[in-house]
Amino acid sequence: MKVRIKVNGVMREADVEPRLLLVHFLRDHLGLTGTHIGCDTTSCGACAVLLDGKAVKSCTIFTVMADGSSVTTIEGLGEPGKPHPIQEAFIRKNAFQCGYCTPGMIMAAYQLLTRIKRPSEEEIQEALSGNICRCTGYKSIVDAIKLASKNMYGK
Amino acid sequence: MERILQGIEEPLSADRFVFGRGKFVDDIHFEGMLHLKVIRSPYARARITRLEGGINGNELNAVLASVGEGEGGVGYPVLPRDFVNYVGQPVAAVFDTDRYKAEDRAEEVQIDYEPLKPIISIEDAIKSEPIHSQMKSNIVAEYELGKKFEQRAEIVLEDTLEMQRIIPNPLEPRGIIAFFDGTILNIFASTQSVHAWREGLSSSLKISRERIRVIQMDTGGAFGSKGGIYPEYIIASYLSLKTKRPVKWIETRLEHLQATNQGRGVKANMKIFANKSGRVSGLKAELYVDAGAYPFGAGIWSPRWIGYQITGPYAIRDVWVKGLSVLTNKVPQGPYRGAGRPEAAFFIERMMDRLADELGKDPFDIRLINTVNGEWRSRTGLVISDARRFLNEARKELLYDSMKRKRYIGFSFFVLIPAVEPGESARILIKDGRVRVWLGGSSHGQGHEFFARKVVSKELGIPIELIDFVRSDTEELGEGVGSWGSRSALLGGAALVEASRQILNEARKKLGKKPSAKELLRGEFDKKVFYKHKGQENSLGANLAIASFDEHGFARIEEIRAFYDAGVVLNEDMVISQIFGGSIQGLGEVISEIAAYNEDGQIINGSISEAGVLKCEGLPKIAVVFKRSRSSAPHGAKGVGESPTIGVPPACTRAIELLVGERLSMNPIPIEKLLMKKV
Amino acid sequence: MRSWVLFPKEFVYHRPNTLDEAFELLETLKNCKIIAGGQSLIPLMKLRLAEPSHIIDINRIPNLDYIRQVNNELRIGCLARISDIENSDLIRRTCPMLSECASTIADPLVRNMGTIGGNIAHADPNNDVPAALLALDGKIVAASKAGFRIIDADDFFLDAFTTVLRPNEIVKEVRIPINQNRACSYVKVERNYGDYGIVGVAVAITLNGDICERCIIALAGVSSKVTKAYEASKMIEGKKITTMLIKKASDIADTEAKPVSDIRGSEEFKRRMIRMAVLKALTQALKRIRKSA
Repeated sequence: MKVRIKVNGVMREADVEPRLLLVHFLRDHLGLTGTHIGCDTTSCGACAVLLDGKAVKSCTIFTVMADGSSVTTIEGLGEPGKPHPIQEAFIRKNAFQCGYCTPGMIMAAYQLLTRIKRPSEEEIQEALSGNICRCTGYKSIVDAIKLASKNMYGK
Repeated sequence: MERILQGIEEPLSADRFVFGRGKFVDDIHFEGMLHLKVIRSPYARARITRLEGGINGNELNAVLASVGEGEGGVGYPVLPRDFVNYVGQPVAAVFDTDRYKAEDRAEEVQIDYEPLKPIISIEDAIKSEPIHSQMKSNIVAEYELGKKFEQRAEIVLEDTLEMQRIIPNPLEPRGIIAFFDGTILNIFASTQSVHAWREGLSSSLKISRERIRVIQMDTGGAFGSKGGIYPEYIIASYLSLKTKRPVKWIETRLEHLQATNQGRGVKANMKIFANKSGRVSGLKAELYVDAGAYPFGAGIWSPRWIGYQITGPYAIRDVWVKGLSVLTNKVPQGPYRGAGRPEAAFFIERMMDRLADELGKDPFDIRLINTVNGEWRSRTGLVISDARRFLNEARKELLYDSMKRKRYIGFSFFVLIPAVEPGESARILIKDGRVRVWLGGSSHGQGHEFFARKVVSKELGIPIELIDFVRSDTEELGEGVGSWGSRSALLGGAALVEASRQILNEARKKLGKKPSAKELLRGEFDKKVFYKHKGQENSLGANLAIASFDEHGFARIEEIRAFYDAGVVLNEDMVISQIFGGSIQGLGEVISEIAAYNEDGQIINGSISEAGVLKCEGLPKIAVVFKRSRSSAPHGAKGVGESPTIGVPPACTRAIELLVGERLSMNPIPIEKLLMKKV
Repeated sequence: MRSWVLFPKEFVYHRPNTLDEAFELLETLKNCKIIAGGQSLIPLMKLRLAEPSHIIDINRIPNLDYIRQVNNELRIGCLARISDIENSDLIRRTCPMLSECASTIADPLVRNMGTIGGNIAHADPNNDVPAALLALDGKIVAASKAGFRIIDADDFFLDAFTTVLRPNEIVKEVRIPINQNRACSYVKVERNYGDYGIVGVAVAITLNGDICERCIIALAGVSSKVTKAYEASKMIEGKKITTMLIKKASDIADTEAKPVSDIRGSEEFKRRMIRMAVLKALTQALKRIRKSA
């Protein structure tokens, strides 16, 4: 089936099988490998992307369902030299170890800071409740999101 | 091969992950690549009565190398022909250029089974007929350590303690790309050790090391599970050798839950002899390790290793340990963050608390009275230095006395024995005005790039921006050990210091004076060294945990405090982050993480969440204090990576025990026991 | 028993633009499934525990994601996302327990996709929305080519993953009466954060002066379908609510439940959890009554 999906601002057209999961479309068809697969069961959030501005788990969406939508992946957020404030805060706070959960964490944080400019600790924890990190114990990630909030919206 | 390596060989920028620019195995795509789908046993134990289609054991007859010899002559088959022995065991494989179609092709394989009654518990394994008919029993390893003794003591306490099996669950599952280019079998690996993989592949596939090149891709955590080889790696390599095409296998999480080696799974009968003041004079321990379906790696050496450190940091005169490894119909046991150290600490620490309760004394005082200053060598050979001094410092640094007023606190004291022998390798290459650095062990979340560049920069006086850290690759650095056992900063760092000093010496000889950074960068140097380490390099640690009830009446840990001797801390942010992460893993082990089997040997955890991995809500506050010291290595670093999974479980278990008012002898604590009594 | 699969089986994809087109597809296709948010269906398809030949994607049918008040009734279109329900001002004002319930479902990312229609039609006994609907006297509008019928939530759920919905019907709308004399609460007990709950409890208490006229207690996750705790309700109804009475009622709140031992705990433990959660939910509802009074 033919789909048209705007990914990171670029219109992409492709002919895909209906069963193709969005995460495989992004990774295998478009080569956007920053979006990861961690769990198969919609638990871990390593595959989080923005679908029409909302953070969703791309392993639990068929590509055809995103036809006509716009998708933002970690690659569309910022780049070295021009990082998004959340990315910058993750670097500043060393908010990653193995790096596998990082893109999904950043996408979940992005949505949080869109909805709530100055989230409380509890609101940050709740926003990350669909994302698993096995290395950091989450502390540095929560700190990075606080820093990003401060840098984006002031105290 | 040079062409396909483009983009993989670039130096590792520390920031790559936040831009989605990490390169994990599944991120690599090659033209014509085949995706491997592994067909697995749905039974814990069964006879295979029909086996047709795909790649199966009739075609690929190989065993995982480390179990080929000895131990009753049982090999761990890559693909079994006659019997399957755990749920998830690979039985056949199919492939296609498309992942989804490879999945569909699973239907082409016909396997019939005649189910047999599986052996699930350690007790059953000891009583039952052997799982493997060529063996006499299910006992695959038996060790005695220390010395038999008889004692009359005022106090004799006995208890059975257990750390149940848990699933490593790094966020990136296992994975491999095997690519035989006609000459060399190139392996792109998610691994802790390219060298261990090359060794294992070479011996299982019976091809020489020289024809295998293993390159580490970014590795999304491992915690012990990615050190050695697994059947899937042999199958993927075999298929690439056969087809001369790149072959990719990426584990799904559900495969991980069933078929990746699991940690812990150890029971102990502990018996301590003490006087009324709490001084322990003797310890007898019987250890039982659930080795899983095949005698393999950790399952074999665990009882001896746990027995070796069963006294913890305490000066106990008489020690006798008997340790058994038994086979069950479960996936083989493997190392998991701490690998034996947490088990030993949990067992001895639970007994120290028990003794304190028995005598009505402060658990800290019981610990203190059992330590000495100076060097103590245990009956099993473990060397502990200045335990009493450390413990007194810990009391202060952890605010033990003021925290105790909060009532529900647990305290633990432990020794971390880094896996220092035989040492580790490193390479430094200076060329074209830049420095490139390799380590023998493969980083998988410890941030080797941070400390390695820092060490080299300090030794050579070259600005850190001019130093690149390069992913490990057997072609670039042919000898090495691996990254596990809290060893990399200590040994890898020491190897880098040694290589740096060799470069400085060489330059000094050439120039007749101490070289400047500029002079070094103008020249060309290439040093590969193997830093040999002999003897012990142990460090001490202590934890304190505070428990309280949550809104629903479940015990929770609200705070964890750590006082660790990490030697010279090379990158404080990374070390603290590792301690935080390890503490949460340790806490998970106490309250939720488990590989849960039913009586049919089916693993009933249906997801990574159901395996008990903690999410970020309701987690404790963590505070870390370092004891400043130096190791014998030239840069002074010690081990630290496993400290929290050793010290946190006994401290948290004790705090919860006091809170709920019931003796707790098992991790994870059954959920029923975490609940406030009056609820 | 291939429980390690990650890739769904092939299917034919249909994307109707109107309800009528969807009805037509439902009349003609065999082995088909409707997809809305997909947060329950897709995981099952990945495991190949569900292998529909046809998928009907109703996401493009306009005007099915509304949340509105019609007279004294809240009407929610089947495509309203769980996150919309969680954050809707109208629902927070008129029926806050439903928002409370929505906020306990899965995690924020899943809630962004998951829909109320899908949650109900899927009828997973662990799902929370069915319990809330039972407590709130909710009704479900099932639509088909032949027209529509309105089904009491009480009659809708038959068993695990089984409802009275006919194969040619779509859950089109959910209706909840608005009642300002009603105090409600939703309490969920989870083993690990973000996993399925051990138990979810929805309570709704309608007062007449001091006296509890009606008390509904609905339980999620502890039977093969959403269940009401009638015995406990009976104990409260017709009486003046007191802390003591609530305690006594919660002590028998597990009478009708049939929990089974599993990875989330033993049967006895789950019964304790039910009693505890009911006590908590009733207490919270009572607090809300006192606050508004």
